[in-house]
Amino acid sequence: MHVLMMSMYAAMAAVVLATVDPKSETPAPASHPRVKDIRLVPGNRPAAGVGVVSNTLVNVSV
Amino acid sequence: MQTRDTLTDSIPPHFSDRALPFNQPTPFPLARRIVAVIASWLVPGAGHLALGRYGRALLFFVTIVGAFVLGLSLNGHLYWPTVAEPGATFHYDLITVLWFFAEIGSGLCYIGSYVLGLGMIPIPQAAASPTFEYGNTFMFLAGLLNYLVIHDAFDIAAGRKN
Repeated sequence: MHVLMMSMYAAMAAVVLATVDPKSETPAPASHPRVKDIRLVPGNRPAAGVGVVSNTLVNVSV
Repeated sequence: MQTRDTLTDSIPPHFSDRALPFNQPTPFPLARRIVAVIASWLVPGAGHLALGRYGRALLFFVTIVGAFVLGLSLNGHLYWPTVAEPGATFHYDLITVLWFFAEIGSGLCYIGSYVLGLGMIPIPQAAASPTFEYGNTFMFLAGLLNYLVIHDAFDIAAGRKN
């Protein structure tokens, strides 16, 4: 009986794993756009921007 | 000689950019989705069988029906929402509502057992068995696992996964 119960636990775990499909997750974008040049606009008030450089999100604030 | 643009323009629209990538999940017709979800509740794995996922259908059927039958053989009990004691906050005893919800997920396993009178021994007598709680747990898990399976069948039918 113990073997049967343990086998059933394993089968239940297999059911949970079978209902999980990691490939069904929302796919990440293949590649982020690359910003070659970030320019800061000179001025008296603070400026902020955001850019993506080499797949890394970069926050820019001055 | 035709230019490339001329060639592209002459391709019918359903051949140009509408083709789906290889192995991309595609949604099933609405009627088949409904049938798959209802069948999946009634008979664990039947929804996947209807959607052509034979391996998973066999796994779900054997495991969930097996767990339910094992629970019954361990003197598990078929629960039904019972009325709470007078003066309680809710009309029904909430724990029996939850247990009923868990067990009814197994569909025909529950209904068939009810019709056949299995698992209907009064609780004081059934609880005298040392395996009573084990049996209940297997029956709860069978129904709860089938809710996962129903969602999985819905996802497949809706074209969200393979």
